[in-house]
Amino acid sequence: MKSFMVDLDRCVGCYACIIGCKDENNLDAGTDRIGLRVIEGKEQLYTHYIPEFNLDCEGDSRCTTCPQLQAQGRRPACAANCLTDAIIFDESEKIEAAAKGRRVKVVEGNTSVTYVSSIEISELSK
Amino acid sequence: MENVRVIQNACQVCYCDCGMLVYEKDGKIIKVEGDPDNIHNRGVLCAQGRAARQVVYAPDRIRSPLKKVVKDGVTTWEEVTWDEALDTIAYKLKSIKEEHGPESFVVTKGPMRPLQEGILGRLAYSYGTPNVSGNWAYCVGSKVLGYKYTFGPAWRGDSWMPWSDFRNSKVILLFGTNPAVSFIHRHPRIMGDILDAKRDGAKLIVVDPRFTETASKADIFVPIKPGTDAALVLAMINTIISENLHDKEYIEKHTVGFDELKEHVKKYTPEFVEEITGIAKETIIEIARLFGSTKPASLDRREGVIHHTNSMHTNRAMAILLAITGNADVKGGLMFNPSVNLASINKKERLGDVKAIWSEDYPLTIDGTGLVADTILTEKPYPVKAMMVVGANPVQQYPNTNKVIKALEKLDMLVVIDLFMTETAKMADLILPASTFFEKEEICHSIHLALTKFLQVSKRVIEPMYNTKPEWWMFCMLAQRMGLEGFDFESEDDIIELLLEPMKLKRSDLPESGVYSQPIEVGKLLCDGFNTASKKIELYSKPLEEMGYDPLPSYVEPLETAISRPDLAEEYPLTLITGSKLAVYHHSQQRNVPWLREHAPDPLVEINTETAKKLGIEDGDKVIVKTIRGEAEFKSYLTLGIHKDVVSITHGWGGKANVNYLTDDKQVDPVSVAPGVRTLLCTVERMEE
Repeated sequence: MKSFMVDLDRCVGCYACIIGCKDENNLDAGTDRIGLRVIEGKEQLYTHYIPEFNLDCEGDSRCTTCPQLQAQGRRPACAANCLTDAIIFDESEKIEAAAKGRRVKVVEGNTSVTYVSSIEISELSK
Repeated sequence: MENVRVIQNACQVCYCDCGMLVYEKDGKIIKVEGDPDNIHNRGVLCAQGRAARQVVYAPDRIRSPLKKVVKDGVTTWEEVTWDEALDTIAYKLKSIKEEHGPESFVVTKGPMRPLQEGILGRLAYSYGTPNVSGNWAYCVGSKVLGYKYTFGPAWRGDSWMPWSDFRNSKVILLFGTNPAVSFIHRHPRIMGDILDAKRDGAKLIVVDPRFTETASKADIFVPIKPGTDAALVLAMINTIISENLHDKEYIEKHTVGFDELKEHVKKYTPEFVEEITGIAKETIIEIARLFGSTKPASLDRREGVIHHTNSMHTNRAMAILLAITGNADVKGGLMFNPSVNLASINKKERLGDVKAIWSEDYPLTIDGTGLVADTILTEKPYPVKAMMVVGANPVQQYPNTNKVIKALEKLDMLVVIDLFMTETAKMADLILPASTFFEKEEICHSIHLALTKFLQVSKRVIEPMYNTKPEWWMFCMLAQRMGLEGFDFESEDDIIELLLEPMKLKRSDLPESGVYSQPIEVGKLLCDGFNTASKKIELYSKPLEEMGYDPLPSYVEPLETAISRPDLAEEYPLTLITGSKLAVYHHSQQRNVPWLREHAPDPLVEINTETAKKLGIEDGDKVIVKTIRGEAEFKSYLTLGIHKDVVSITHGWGGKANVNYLTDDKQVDPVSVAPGVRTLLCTVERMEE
C-alpha cells in the first residue's frame, strides 16, 4: 500500500503541489485537495511550511491520490510536481525506512501522510 | 486518454524556459506538466507554469486590436481591424520620423526571446531608432558588467552569464535572492539542488533583510541593512586575506592586481563593517572563514543586490571574492557557460550614428528603461514623441509612477502590445492583442545559463485565439507599411532557420522535443586564459579605470538613507525595500488567474512586529506608506522575519497598491543604470476605517 511522506526539512511553500493538483484534476479555485499551512514563529525566528491533504472530507475536495496517474505507473500530481522532492508517494515500508531516526507525525485518512522533520514542530500535533 | 496530443514545449511564463508537456485535446489545452526529459526542470513546473492555461483561457484577454475613442470626456475602446490599426500606427510613425527624427520613437519591452525580439530589433533599427529598451539594467546588467570587468567578456565577444554550481558546492552563499520561489537564472529544481547539497554536508548562508522561504532553510541567516552588501563582501575579502585563507596558488597563476586589492580592502575591518551593515563582527568573521576555508564554495545574488545604486561594484566585489578563494571556473563554484551561437537578426548595422538616450551618460549599459520617463518630460537629450510597449507595463513596473504617467500622457502616440488591459494599456492610443506562447513559435535558450549549452524550439500548440497575432507578424506588417526592407517572412519557420544558421543546424535536425543540448567544459578558461588584456582575472580593472570608474570596488552609501539624507530621516524614519517575489506571481502578471490569486489575494506591506506595535499597527490593518515621491496603500503583515527598521512591499499590484508611486527613477547605479528601489526612506501609518 502506497502513502504520502512529507519531508518538512525540504518544503519551501512554493505552491507547486497545490497548482499541480488543480491542473491535473481540473479543479476550480476554492476547491483544494491539498493546502499549505504556513507557521511563523511569534517569539523566535522560524517558518514551517506544511502541506495538508484533505483526507477525510467528501466530494470534490477529497484527495484521491490521483488514480488516473497511478494507473499509468505515475505518482499523484502533488508528489510528481514537488520542486524539492519534499512530497514522496511510496510503499509504507520505504516510507518507514526513510522516516527512521527523524521526528515523525502520521495523519491517517483514506491514505496516510507521514510528516518527518529534523526539528520538533509542535504545531503539527494541533 | 483518447485524442490527446502531448507536445514537448518550453514554458514561457517566466524566463526559465522550462521543458513543458502540453496536453491538447480538440484544439484545447487541457493540462501542462513539466517535461521529465528536460535536464533542467526534470518533470516539474512551478505554480505559475502549472497555471498557464488559465492565462490562455482568461476571459479578460484582449481579443481584437483596439482604438481609444474619447468623446465628451468619456473614453471607450473601439474594435478595429488589423489593417486599420497597423495603417494608423505606420502613418503616425512615418510622420514622427520626418518631423522629429527616428530617435524620437522609443520601444520598451519585457523579457523577450530571440525570435520575436530579433524582429522587433530589426523593425526599430531599420526605422532608425537606437532606443530599444528592455529589462537588462533592471534584471542582470550590473552583475553582467561586474563579472565582465573581472573575468573579461566571453571569447565570442558577448557577456558571460556566470552561474554557480550549487549542487556540487560545499558552501552556498546567497545575497538578496530567494530561489525557493523566484527565478535566479536557474530552473525551478534549484532549491531542491541546494537542499541536496545541504543534505550532503554543504552549508547554506542566506544574507537578506527578509527571512525568506530560502532563509528558512539556511544554516546561517544573516539579516543585513539593505544596500550594504558591498561592505560585507569587502570585509569578507579583508578577513580571508588577513587570516591567510586566500588561494595563493590560484591568485598567482590566474589573477592580476592582488596587492592593490589587499591594500584597498584593509579599511573594511569587521568592526567598521558591523556599523555599516548591522551584522555582528563575529558573524562577518564566521562566514568569511567558512567561505575562505571550504572548497568548492559558491555564491549568487539577485535583485536584492542588483536594485541598488552601488550595484556594479557590489557585484564586482562578489566576483573578486570568488576569484581570491579559487572558486572561479571550477566545479561546485562559479562556472562560465558560453551561450548557443544564434544569428543576430536585428540588423543593428542599419542604425546611423544617432545615440540612444542612455549612451552619453551610461556608455556601458545596453539599455536604460528607467530613464525614458524623464527623457520624455525634459526632452533631454532629445524629444521622444512615440512609444511602443511590448509585453511590459511601465505604469505598474517602472520607478516613480506619477512621473511615468505624466510622461506617457505627453506622448503623441502610445502603442501597447499585450494580452491584457494593463494600466499601461489603458493609457494607449492603440492596443494590439498578442498571442500567448502556446499560440506561436519561439526559440528558448534562457536555461542555457545552467548545466549545458542549450536551446529549444518551442512549437505552436493551438492556433492564435480570437483576433490575436504573434508579435513578429505585427512588426513585419508595420515595417512593410513603412517601406522598410527585410520583413517578408512567410512564417516563423523562416526566422527560426535564420537564427539557427551559425550553428549549421536546421530545425529538422532537432529531435521531437526541439531541444539542442551540449555539455559545457569546466576549467577551460583557467587552461586557455581569460578574455582580458592580461589573459587573467582582473582583480584590479584597468579598463574600468580608463573609463573613469573605480578600478577596485568600494562600499558607497545608498542615496536615500538616514546618513545620506538626514533631512528626510525624521519625517521618513523607515527604510522601504520593494520588489520581493511571491511564488504565485511573475511581476505584474497573473492577478487575474484564479488558481494563483487565491493564494495571495492582497497587496501586503511586511512590518516587523515590534516596529508595528510602536506605530499602533495591528496585523491586517489598512496602512498608507509614504515617501517624498508619493503614497500607496496596503494591508499590514506583521512578522519577525523583517529587519526592525525596514518594511517590504512586493511590486506589480495596480491602483493604489502600486509600490512604484513610492520609488524614484533618479536613483540609479552610475555604471549600469540599475534602479535603486531598495533603500528608500518611508513612513507607515494606520488608515482610519
